[in-house]
Amino acid sequence: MVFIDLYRFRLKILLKDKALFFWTLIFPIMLGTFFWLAFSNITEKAEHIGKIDAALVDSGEYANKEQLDTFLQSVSGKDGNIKLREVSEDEAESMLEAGDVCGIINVSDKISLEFKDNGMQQTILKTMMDSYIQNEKLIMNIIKNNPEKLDAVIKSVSEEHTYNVEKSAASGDMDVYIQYYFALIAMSCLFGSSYGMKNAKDIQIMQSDVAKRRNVAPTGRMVNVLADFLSAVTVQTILFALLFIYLDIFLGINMGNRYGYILLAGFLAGVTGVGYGYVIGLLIKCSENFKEGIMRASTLLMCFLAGLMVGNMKYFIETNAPVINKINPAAVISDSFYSLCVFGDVKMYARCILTLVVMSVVFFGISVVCIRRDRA
Amino acid sequence: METVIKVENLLKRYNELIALDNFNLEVKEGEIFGLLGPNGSGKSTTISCILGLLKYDKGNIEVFGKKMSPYEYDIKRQIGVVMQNVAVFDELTVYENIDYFCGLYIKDRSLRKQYVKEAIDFVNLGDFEKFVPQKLSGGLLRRLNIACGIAHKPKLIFMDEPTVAVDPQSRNNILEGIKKLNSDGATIVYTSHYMEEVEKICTRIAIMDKGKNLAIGTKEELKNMINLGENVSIEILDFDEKYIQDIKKLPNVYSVEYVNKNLHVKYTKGQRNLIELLDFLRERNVEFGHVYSELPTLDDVFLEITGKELRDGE
Repeated sequence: MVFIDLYRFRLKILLKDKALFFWTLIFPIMLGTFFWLAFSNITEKAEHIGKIDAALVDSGEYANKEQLDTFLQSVSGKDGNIKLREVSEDEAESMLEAGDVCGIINVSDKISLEFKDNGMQQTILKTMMDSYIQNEKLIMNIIKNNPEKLDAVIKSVSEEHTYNVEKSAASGDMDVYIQYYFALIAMSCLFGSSYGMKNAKDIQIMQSDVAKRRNVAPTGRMVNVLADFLSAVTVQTILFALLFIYLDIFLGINMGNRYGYILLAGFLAGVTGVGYGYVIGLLIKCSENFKEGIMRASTLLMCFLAGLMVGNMKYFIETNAPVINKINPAAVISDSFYSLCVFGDVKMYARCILTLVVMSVVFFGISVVCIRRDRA
Repeated sequence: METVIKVENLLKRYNELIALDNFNLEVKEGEIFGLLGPNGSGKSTTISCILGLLKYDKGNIEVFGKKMSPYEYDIKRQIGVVMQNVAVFDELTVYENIDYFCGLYIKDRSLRKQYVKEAIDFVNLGDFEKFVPQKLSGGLLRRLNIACGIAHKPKLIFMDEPTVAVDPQSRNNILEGIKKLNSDGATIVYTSHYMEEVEKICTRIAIMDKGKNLAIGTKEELKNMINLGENVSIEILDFDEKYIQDIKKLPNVYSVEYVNKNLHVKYTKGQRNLIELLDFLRERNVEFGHVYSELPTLDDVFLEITGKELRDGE
């Protein structure tokens, strides 16, 4: 049979496998939709924080009252984040009790804050006031000890807190939840290992009768392996593209517009996933179901470590055991998208791509050796 | 006749277990060669070694006069295999499956198309071309399995128990098909548990057990190897078992037993055995019903050679 026919038939076989289709496309789409529903709700709430209502109780005893007034005016002005109402202590207490304000700023000889509940507004208010107190202490120390550096420090302090987030040069998204989607893509690509495992089964003489039948035919074994491998990678790349389109277009998650780079990363992630499946399928000698279980569990573990279930996990690992992030395919795949779509860092992207190439070569090398040793 | 398969002193070990023990075999062109033996006797191992699917420890295998190896593509091109289990892709239709496996042998697309059509006609699956295997009954699946193995018109076909779990009608169709393939020029190596099938279609038979070739020959030659003539069964409702010893003294009697209201007498050679037995019963006023007399079967041969029933080993 000519190579193209082998490739075509294998493509058909893989595409028609409903179970694999579910795990590599439908399941990630469902999970992505679930993420979208959950995160968009949170983002919406965050976006509707609006101005923070706060009460100010000022006894007029504060030493640097003039500076404090200037600061409070700046944060409660037209462009400020706080709606400040100067009231008496009793009024402030009843307003806090009634929920009209989220907190009370008590200014006597020192500044203190009073809250009834915890929440995002309270956190923002506390952060702003803590920041002011810290900077004020810093400036007072400078005036006392190094007055010549005062100008530089004031400039630095005023630049430090703009309370705005600077967007990267990449046209991507700084949505804090986007990392979940990248981990999701990594999961989908690594679930492509199912295709690798199916291919491994269909070429091993001791694993299936179809493999026996293929091996008694006068078509070279490696020709079959290559056709199978390319078909699996093609299918996985198509499924990646469909998942990406769904996330980007249908769910509106902004993943940037560097489509060429994105496709390359998706393609190599697919190659890595398929290669991983071959390795599991060829190296582990046990029942098909058990192999499937190992593959699925190990993939989910990798994705867990890459932050699919707990967002901070990858950063925790980066701090405590960074080597895991370097060899975990899910983390590398996720990083390749993150570097591209969030940081716009092509160097970091290239490093990830290179790592994926190395992983793929290692997986494929192991597979070829195993297949060559297959005859008992 | 040319020798198609020559196996000499084949030794195959699985760790400590000897699967084939200095096994020898020769299959001639145009034969339907039966390989008979219980599970674990080494039939499938023999076939796998010949096909290059298994390595072996010692010995020599030649197919079509050339030493067989997994890379002898010219030899492989002339071989077809019908596996014991149905070996097809669940995701492909009947037509696509046959096309795929035929395509592993035939590169020319138009020739392949013609061969696939002929294979479909041969197994009579024309109405099921677009069906996926899951939609086929057991018998139809077996036919598809056969079509996938023979579509490329091989000169040598290995059939490893192709009729397992097949209804009697489909089994007869398959056996007729095998005869047709043989009459079209294919040499066939056929393994089976079913003695009657082997007896019906095989021109020569080898009896295997524990990795050894115990006997080889035509069915007549095999039957002549054992010391058995005809088997007589007589239905007797009321039989006094004291007569058993007297019957044993009759000429040519090999064994006698009375089971389930039936008297079974096995003879060695000789003539007039049945007449003498019936005279014996009449003289003693023993009333009897149906009388059956048959020549020894391969079951008897197998029992005599291996000391056990073939199906005991399954």
